Amino acid sequence: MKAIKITLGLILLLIATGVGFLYSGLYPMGADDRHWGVSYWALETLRERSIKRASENISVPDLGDSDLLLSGGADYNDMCAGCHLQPGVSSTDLSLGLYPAPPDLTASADKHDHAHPFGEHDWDAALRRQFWIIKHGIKASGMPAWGETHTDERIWAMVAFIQKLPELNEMQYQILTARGESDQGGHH
Amino acid sequence: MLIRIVPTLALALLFSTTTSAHSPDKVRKQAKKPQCEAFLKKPKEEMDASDPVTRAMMKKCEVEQQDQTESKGNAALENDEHHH
Repeated sequence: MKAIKITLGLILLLIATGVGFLYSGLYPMGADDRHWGVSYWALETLRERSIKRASENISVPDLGDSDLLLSGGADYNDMCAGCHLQPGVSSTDLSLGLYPAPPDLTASADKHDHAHPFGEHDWDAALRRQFWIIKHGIKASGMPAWGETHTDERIWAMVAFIQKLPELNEMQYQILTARGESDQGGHH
Repeated sequence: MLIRIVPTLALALLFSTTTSAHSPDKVRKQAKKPQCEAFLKKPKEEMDASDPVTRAMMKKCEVEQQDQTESKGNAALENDEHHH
C-alpha cells in the first residue's frame, strides 16, 4: 500500500513539474536557439516514424511522363524554391532562417544533412514520403499542407520534378519552371 | 451583434482569398517566359530525345516559339488594319 502511495505521489509530482515547466515560460522557443541533440533526435524520429506509418498505403503513379516535369516544375518554382532552393541559388532568407532548416532539394538525397529513414533502395517509400509531406505538411516546421489547395495530381507532378531537380542546370530549371502563356504543363 | 459579425466576415474573407492564392491563372500573369534561345540553338543530334527533361524542354520551347510566331502575326495584322 505504501509503495502504491509513493508511486502515485511521484507520478503526481512529475505531472506537476511538467505543467509547471510549461507555464514557467523557461523553454527557449526562438528558431535561432537550436535544440539539444537528444531533442532533435526525438523530434526527427517522431516525424519520420509518423510519416512512414501514414504514407505506407499510398500507391505511387507512373512518374515518367515528361509533362509532369512542366506542371510540377512551375509549381515547385512558385511554392517550394524559396525554402528548398534552385540551381544557382545556395541560400535564401527563408532557408537560412527556418529551423529545422528545410532540405536543399537541389542536392541529391545522399548530400542532405538530415537522416533519410528508408534504405537507399526503397525508392517507392521515398516517393510516398515526399508526396505525403507536400500534401499534409509538417507541424511547427514551416512546411505547409499543400493538399488543402492542390490536387493529388498536381502534388505527384511536383514529386516527379523533385526527382530530376538535382540533375538540372540553371537553364534547364528556368525553361522547365517558367509558365509560358499557353502553359501546357498546367493540366489542372 | 456587430462584434460577432465583423470577425466572422473578416475570417471568411481571409479564407476565401487564401484558398485561391495559388490558382495557376493568377500566377501565370506574373510569370517569366521560358528563355529558350540557347536551348533551341543546340544541334538536335546533341539532344537525347529519350531523356524526359529534354523532352519536356523541347515541348515547352516549341509551344513558346508557336506563341511568339502567333503574337507577331497578330501584331502585324493589327498594324495593317491601323494603316488602312
